[in-house]
Amino acid sequence: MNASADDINRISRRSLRDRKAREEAEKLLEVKSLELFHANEELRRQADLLEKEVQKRTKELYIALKNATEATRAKSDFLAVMSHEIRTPLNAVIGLSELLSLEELPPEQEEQVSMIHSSGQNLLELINDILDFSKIEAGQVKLDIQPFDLEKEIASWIATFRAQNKNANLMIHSHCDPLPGQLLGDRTRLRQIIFNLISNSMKFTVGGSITLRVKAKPNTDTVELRFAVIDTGIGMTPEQQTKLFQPFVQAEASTHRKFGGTGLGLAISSRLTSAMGGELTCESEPGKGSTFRFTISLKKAVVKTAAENSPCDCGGPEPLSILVVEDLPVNQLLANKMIQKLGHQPDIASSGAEAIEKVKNKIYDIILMDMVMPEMDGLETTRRIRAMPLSYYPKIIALTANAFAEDKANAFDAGMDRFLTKPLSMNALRKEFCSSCKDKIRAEKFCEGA
Amino acid sequence: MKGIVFVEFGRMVSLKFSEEMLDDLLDHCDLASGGAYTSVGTYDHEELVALVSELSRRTEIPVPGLIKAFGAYLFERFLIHYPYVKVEDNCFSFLASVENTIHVEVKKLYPSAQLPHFEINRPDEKTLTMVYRSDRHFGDLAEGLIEQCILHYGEDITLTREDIDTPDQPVRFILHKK
Repeated sequence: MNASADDINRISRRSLRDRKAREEAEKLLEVKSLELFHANEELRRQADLLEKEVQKRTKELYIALKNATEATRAKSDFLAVMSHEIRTPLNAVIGLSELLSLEELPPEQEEQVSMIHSSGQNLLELINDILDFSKIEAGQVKLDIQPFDLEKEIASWIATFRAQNKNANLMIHSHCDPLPGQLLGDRTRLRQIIFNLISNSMKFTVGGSITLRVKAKPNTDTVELRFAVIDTGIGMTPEQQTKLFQPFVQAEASTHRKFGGTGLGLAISSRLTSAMGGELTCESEPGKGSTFRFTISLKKAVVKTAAENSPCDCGGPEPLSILVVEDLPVNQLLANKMIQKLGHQPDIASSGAEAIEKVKNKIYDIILMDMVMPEMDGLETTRRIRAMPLSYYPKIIALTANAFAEDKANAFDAGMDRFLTKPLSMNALRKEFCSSCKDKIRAEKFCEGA
Repeated sequence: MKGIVFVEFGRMVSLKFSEEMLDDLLDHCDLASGGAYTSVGTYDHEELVALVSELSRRTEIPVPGLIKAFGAYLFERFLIHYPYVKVEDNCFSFLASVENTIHVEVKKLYPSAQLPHFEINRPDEKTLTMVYRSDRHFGDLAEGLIEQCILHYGEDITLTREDIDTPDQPVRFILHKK
C-alpha cells in the first residue's frame, strides 16, 4: 500500500500534536507534583507546629493539675491544722466550764458558766459544720457502716430534741414503721442529717408540731426507708426553695439576723444523703410549713451485736490505774480533774517518750492517748507500747478532735482499743471506765458483791 | 475550559465521523493550543466554538444540534470517567445534586475550574426547574446533558427550554414528570 504525500503529512502532523499534548501533560504533571510537594511540606510543617502546640499545652495542663492538686492538699492540711488549733482551746473552755458547773456556785455565776458552756458548744458545732462541709466538698466523706438499731436511735434523737425544746407551743413527734432488727449504716451521719433537718424546722416553727416519720419497706436483704421531717412552720416560697441546698445561702438575708446559723446544715445534709444513695427534697408553702424527704436503702444486719454503750451498772468505781498522755497543760488539767471526779487518780505524761517510760515502770489499766503531739504522736507511741514486752497490756483509748472513719481506722491499726472524741465528757469517760471495770476480775467481784 | 471536554470532543468526532475529520478540524482552525489537547490541561473555550463551527460547516449540521449531541455523548462519558461520583437513583435527584455534590467534587480535582451555575427549584413533586448561567453560553451543551440524563434513568419526563432575554442570557430548563 502506497501512502500519499498528503497522508504522510497528515500523520506526521497528528503525531506532532500527540507529542506536544504529551509534553504539555508531562509539564502539567511536573507543576502539579511540585505543588503537591509544597502542599505536603506545608502540611508537615503545620502538623509539627500542632504537635509542638499539643505538647506545650499538655505540659501546661500537667503543671496546672499539679498546682491544683498541691493547692487542694495544702488546703486540706491547713484545715486539719486549723481544726486542731481551734478545737484545742475550745475543748478546754467546754471541758473546764463543765467541771465548773459541777461546783456549788452562786446562781448568777452558775448561769454564766452555763452560758460559757453552751456558747462553746455552739462554736464547736459551727466549726465542725464548716470543716465537715470542706471535707464533703473535697470528696473525703467515707461512711462508717456499722450495725445499729434505728428505732432506738430515733427514740433517742426525739428525746434529745424534746429536752432542748423550751417552746411549750411546739410538739415534737416521731412515727416509725416496725423494723426488722438491726440495720447496717452510718448512724452518726444519719443522725447528723436528721438533727440538721429538725433543728432547722425548730428555727422556723413557732407553734404547732414537728414530726419525724419513717416508712419502712422491707426487701430480701435491704430495707427501703422513707424519711420525712414535717413541720407546721412559716414555709418557703418556690424561689427560696431553689436556693435551699446551696452552701452559705439562707432563704432570706434577714433569716440570719432572725434565726442565726451558717446556712451549711441543709447543704451538708443534702450531700450526705447523696453519699447514702438518696436525694433530699423539699415541699413547702408559705404559711403552711415545710416537708423534707429522702429515701435510702440500708442492708439488714446479719449478726446482732451487743450494745456497746450500755449504761454502767457496776454500782461504783473501782480505782483504776490510768495514764493520761497529753502535751497541753490545760488539757492535762481537764482530764485530771474529770478523772478525779470519777474517783480515780491518773498519772500524767506530757509526751510519747515520757509515756513509754511510765509504762515500763507501772502497770496501767487504761491509757488515754492524745493523737496529736509534737515529736512522737499518739499513733507512734501506741505502736511502741504494743511492741513492748509487758505482763499486762493496757486498754488504749484515743483522744481526738477528728471523729472521721479514716482517723478511727488509723487508730485501730496502730493498736488502740477505743476512740473518744474531744471535748471529753464525764459521761463518755464514765462509760469507758465502767467497761474496764467489768473486764477485770476484781471489778466483776466488786459488781457481784454489790 | 477543562481539557477533558476537548479530548472528548475529539474522540466523538473520530467515532461519529472519522479520524481524518478530526485532523482536518484541528489543522484548519487557527488554534492557540495547536490542537494538542490533554485532559488535564485548560484551554480557551473559544477553541471549542471554532472547532464546532468548522464541523458544522463541513457536515452541514447546524451548530446547536452538534453541541446538543456532544452534550448527550459527554453525559455517558462522564459516568464512565467519574464512577466514584455518587450516582443518584433518579433523574431529579441527580440533576439536583449537580451543583452541590458533583461540582464540589470537580473543584477538588480542578481548583481553578470555572463551572457553570445551576439554580434548581422544585415547584412541585413532578416538576424541576434548572436555570443555567455561564459566561460561555453553552445552553445547548447543558440541554444535551439533561436530555441524556433523562434517557439514562429511563423516566417519562418532558423537557422544555426557555431562553431568557436578559443581558447574561440564562436558560431555564423545565422538567415535568408525567
